Amino acid sequence: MPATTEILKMRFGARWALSLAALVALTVGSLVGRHFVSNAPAPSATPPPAINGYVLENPRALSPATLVDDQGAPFPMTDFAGHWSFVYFGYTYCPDVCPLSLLELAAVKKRLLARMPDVAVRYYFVSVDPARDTPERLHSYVAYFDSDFRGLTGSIPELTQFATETGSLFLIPEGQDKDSYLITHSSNMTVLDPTGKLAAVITPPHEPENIATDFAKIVAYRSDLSGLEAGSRAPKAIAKSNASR
Amino acid sequence: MTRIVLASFLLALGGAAAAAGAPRVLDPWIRATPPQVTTAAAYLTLEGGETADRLTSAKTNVAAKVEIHSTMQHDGMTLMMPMEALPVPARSTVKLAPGAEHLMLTGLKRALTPGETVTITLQFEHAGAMDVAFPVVDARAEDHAEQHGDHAGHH
Repeated sequence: MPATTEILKMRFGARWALSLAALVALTVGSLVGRHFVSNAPAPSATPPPAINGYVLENPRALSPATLVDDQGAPFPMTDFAGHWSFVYFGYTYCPDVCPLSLLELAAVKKRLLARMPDVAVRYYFVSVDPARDTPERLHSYVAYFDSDFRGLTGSIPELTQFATETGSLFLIPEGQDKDSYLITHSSNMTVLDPTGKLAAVITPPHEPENIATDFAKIVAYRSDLSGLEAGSRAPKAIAKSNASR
Repeated sequence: MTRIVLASFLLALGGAAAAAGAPRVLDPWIRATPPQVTTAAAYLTLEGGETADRLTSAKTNVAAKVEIHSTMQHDGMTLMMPMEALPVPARSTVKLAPGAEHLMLTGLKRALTPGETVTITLQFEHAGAMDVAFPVVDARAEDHAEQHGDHAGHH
């Protein structure tokens, strides 16, 4: 297997390859490195569990932004609060890996409903292709995979901010045929906690059983949340309110 | 009479020899399209014949273009790499599967619905053109996921 830089070079030319590879290193480095330099007290005394990806010792707050949901309504980042979230960045023209990932996510949802029925979880497909993915198109796309899945998109600067702050990247080629251009993108299952902060990033290869197991570890690790939730709202009530949409 | 029998025998033999040399197509399928979607991916397993061959191109009348693509995962990045050709070494199995090598259809002229079949013409360097019927499959079905959906073993 050639190095990432080599692959990127083949795909995008040398200049892109270097900046992309640097960006990957920076993004991942900033996430993983964060808890080594941060002075904030860790929410848990135990080190993060090992998963296929990484769990943040200090959950990362995300910058404010207002995305658009698949009904065309504004979706402020604060709407990620109140439930756990799986976030997948992709686009509807993506022929192979996006349908596959959404099928896997649907399988994950089934498992989590059976195993952790009291934990409120929502599933978001974030299109990084706002030029082609209208809310209407997004809605019919995500609903095809699961009627509970939600589609989000937004402006490129906001999507870039959201993606990079959660350790994902995407690259839209310029000057290509509108009907067939392909976007290179991260294929992570990003996990946000019920306060809307980045809790973990599950990296490919994805397998529903492993993702469900990793998610259970992530929830168990964040024992700080039960205290937090108990202080304001009962977790049960949250689960119930989210179940009805 | 004998000559005719002999001729047909030789013909049959010739056919068998060509078949042994050509790659064999197993388990072709194409994913049904979600609403409004104009791209699709098709998958199959190729069994190399007695001699090495290469899949050099593919076409179908339901899409503007068919390309041989490879989905690669590197550091969590998903890269779709067009492949000039897909080598099919002699007596070996090459699997095109979700999350890995696939035939990418773009500019679909219509929706692909489960139950129908789509003919894709595969062009091999040595074996020539081969029409293959790809059943359209609803990948959401559980039994299908078990049969085809597992791509954890790739890479």
